[in-house]
Amino acid sequence: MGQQPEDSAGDQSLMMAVRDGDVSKLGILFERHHARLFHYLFRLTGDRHLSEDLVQEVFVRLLKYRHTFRGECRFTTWLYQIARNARTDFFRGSCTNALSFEDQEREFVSSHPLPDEHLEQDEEMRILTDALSRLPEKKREVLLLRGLHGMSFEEIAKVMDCPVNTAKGRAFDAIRTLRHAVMELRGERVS
Amino acid sequence: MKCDGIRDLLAEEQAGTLEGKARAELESHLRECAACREERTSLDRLWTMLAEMPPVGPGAAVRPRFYAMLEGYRQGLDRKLHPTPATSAPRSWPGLGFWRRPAFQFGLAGVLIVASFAGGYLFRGGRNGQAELADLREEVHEMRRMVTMSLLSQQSASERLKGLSWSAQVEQPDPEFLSTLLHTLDYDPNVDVRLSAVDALARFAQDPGVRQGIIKSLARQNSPMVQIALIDLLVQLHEHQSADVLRQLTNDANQNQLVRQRALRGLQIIG
Repeated sequence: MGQQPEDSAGDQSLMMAVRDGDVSKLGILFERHHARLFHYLFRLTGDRHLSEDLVQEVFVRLLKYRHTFRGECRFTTWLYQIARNARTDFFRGSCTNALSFEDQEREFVSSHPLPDEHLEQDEEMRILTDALSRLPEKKREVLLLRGLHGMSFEEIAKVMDCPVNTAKGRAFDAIRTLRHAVMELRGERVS
Repeated sequence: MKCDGIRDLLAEEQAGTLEGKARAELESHLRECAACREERTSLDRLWTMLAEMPPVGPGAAVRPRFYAMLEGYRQGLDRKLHPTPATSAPRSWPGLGFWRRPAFQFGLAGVLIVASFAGGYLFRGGRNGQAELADLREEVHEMRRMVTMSLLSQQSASERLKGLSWSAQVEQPDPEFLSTLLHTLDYDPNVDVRLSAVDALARFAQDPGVRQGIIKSLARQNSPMVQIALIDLLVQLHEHQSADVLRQLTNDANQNQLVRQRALRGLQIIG
């Protein structure tokens, strides 16, 4: 699984300081988390500009709701809850789902050429990101929280506002769906 | 145990919560079933690959945008906690900066109106009083306009937001004022400010120049939030001249999917 940024206790105390009025400490939290948050939002929405807007919106909301931070859960859990709400608010009323981000991904890959020895691995990764973008949003979300961010199922359940067992079930269901999508893209027979 | 039954155990194993007898049962099945073994290996591999996905970084503008917002918020908080003006005032004349504060200017404008009304009523009466009142109203209006323009030129995003909020006090905008609002909509680096500029311009949408400016701006924007706000405004105005831009957005595969959908819906509404 992916790793969350270290120093969770440090995050808690920084956010406590922000809550208590030392808002400049939010800069440290921004530096620690904004790139990863952007990555998560980009993988979810497939839109670079929108993801940048949402990153800004999330940090605006952190300030707006700083008084409500109690430190009862990890800072990242709270951060991603807010990110989820910001995204939901933006898409409210829309039937948009499972956006393709093939173009942006291509742009990213072409601007970061890899050495020849990594080409095969790069192709695998391209198939993975393509398959991921084809998944329904909820499945993509749970895979990103678990795989990319290494969250525990207790944390995922809080972010997604569902029971822990539901989060576990969704993750397993999602990883199997991803496997099928990868196999289809490779032209393999799906059992 | 059959393969279907083993999937629950596999899910628990993937979640890291499989123990004891159940784990032994899974291992026993996997030793005999090549298909389930292959599935477990490929699922483990996928989790590893997800963790190793190359990071996609945000653009360079994200950092300055965040710090502009944070600085604006910090300044606002400071002013709230320490209401004594601390800027621009020479030490030899403490408190000089108070006249620059919009609250003071607005308050002064109100006092002037009341004083004018009372003065006119008491000393002149009739047409002269009415004319003076009109003159003073004009001065107040001009003051509001200047406060707005001044705030919009500030470095702090929160000040510019305040300026846009002040623009609501301006009832009869001149071309320079409208041009400043349109410039803010087009070029302000802060999305929140640009969104507020959309709201501010909506109040002056009866002006044909504003409508044209909004249409041109829509073609120029790259933030989906601002694009959608502009599309909604143009649809609300039933602005037929925006059809070309809406069509371009609808057909542009590089645009955000939601923006394209909103543009298409807009086209259908305005015909």
